[in-house]
Amino acid sequence: MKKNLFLFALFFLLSFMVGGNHAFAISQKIYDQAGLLTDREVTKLETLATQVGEKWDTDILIVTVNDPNIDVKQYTEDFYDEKIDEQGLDKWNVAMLTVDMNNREVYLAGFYKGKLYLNDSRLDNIREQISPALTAGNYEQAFEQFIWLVDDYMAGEPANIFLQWWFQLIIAVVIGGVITGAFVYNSGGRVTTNNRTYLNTNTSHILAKRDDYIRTVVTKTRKPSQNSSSGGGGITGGGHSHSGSRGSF
Amino acid sequence: MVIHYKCPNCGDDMSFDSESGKLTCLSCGRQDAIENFSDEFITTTFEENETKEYHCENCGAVLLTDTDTVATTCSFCGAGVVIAERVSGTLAPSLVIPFSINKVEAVAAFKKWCKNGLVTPNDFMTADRIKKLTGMYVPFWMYDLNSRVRVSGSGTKVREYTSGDYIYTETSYYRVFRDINLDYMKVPVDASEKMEDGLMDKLEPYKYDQLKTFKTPYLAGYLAEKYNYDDKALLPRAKTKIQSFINSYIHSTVSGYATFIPEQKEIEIKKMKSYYVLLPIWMVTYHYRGKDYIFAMNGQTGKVVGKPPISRAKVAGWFGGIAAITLLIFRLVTFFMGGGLI
Repeated sequence: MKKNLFLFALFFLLSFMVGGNHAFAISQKIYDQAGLLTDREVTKLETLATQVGEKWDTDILIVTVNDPNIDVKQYTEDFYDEKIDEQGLDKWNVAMLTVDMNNREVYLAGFYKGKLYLNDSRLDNIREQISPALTAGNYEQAFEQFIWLVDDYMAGEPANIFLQWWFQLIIAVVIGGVITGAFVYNSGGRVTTNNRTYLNTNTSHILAKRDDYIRTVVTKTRKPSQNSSSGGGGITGGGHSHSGSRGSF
Repeated sequence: MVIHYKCPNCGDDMSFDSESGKLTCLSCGRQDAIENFSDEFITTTFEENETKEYHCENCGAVLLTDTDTVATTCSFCGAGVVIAERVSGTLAPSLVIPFSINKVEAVAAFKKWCKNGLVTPNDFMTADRIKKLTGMYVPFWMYDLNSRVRVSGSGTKVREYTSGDYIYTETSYYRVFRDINLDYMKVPVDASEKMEDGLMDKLEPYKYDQLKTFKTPYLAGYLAEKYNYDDKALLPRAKTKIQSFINSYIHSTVSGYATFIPEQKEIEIKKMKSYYVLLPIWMVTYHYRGKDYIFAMNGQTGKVVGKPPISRAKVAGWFGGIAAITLLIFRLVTFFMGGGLI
């Protein structure tokens, strides 16, 4: 009975997760508002981004913009909020690249599944790899490289060590070993007395105590910065948490 | 001198009945309350005699005893007998916890315990090969111990707060002193040479509300042994037994501190009183695959201790099963967070 209940709960959880995890794909992936690409290049990148995105259930967006009044990170966040509202989704898996031609800055962001696989350091890594091409003006090459690098990371393990196979396996083996070891150790009976078993509580007490204050030492450390403008992730105005990497090219 | 309880009504042998707590005749059903029996055998001191041979009062056969035997049953007629010399004078127990579990209940309790074994082989769990089951009063010393603890050391209290861009950690140091009086009552230590100390320790705790003033009829029908070590010899062991209790009590008195490092610790343990006590234990000999396994059962609570055979297949099964389920849960969590399932 207990077992059945457990299986049922598992099944319920699974079906809930499969249903809840799905995110619809947006039809347009490339938003070349700065006009860096030819029509043929846009078509080619659209096809590639769609292919790779479908494979991982994560939309790959590339946005270029040439506007002196924007901040690249803020723009990325607002763009995401706008598009997710348009589609009416709660959750939308996205790996996004924004190029700000005016300030010659680039911002990479991962949302939901995108964030899970592309944390700040992985995005930093991608940004460093595509920056030379951006600097040289080979935008199509840089964007294509971005899509393939996202594909590489999505094909692997999530960025968090606790979500990686080998680490989970080690923990599972340790837990199994400890519990089984306890079974074997306790197979011959356990000690079930404790410090209260024989204690006479009526006569056992503190006769005298002294707590003399001596000194206080204060140390201070700088608060870890959460929303530093130099890069990293954050939370959009719409409340969607994301990873990120920012840099100039 | 051998004490033997004969039924005044019908003349059959009487023995202690764990259910009623009375001296009972199995033939005619006569029951005598043990509290009213006289202490003449316990209070009279017998002359030291070198006789090592005792004869059954009932049939006259030689009783098979060794130098420690206090009570036994005659191997010829089955009468329960008590050897008076060995429960009198300095050998007189002051207290006893009578058996509350009889032979039938002991078998049932043992079977239940075997069935609950998580890593024992399946054919062991059926528990149908009990070779021998012996009810035995094992000699213990119980100590009332007074401990005076004086401990001083340094304690810290830690407070963390944020102000501006900084996190401040404020560590306050205190000089801590505690003077504690601790009384541990009736700490039992096994006084028999034959019993393994670790095994006997695991049989605790006993319920002390059933501690009775010792009377010889309690032993009728059971085995009993006298102590091999006197209360002086076992006092150090009693002291070590409460050492960890004392330390955890000290710890509980400084619970307001984040850390406490004792620098000076004086623990003075004094014996206030000691009692010679007989405690009820069922010894189970179990035959499994050509080997005898010995288990001990608390004759009052039914708790079983001993080293059962371990099934490697079951250990492997548990290990594999727990590891696999844990991994599965981890994978499901990963999946739920948006990662791959495999």
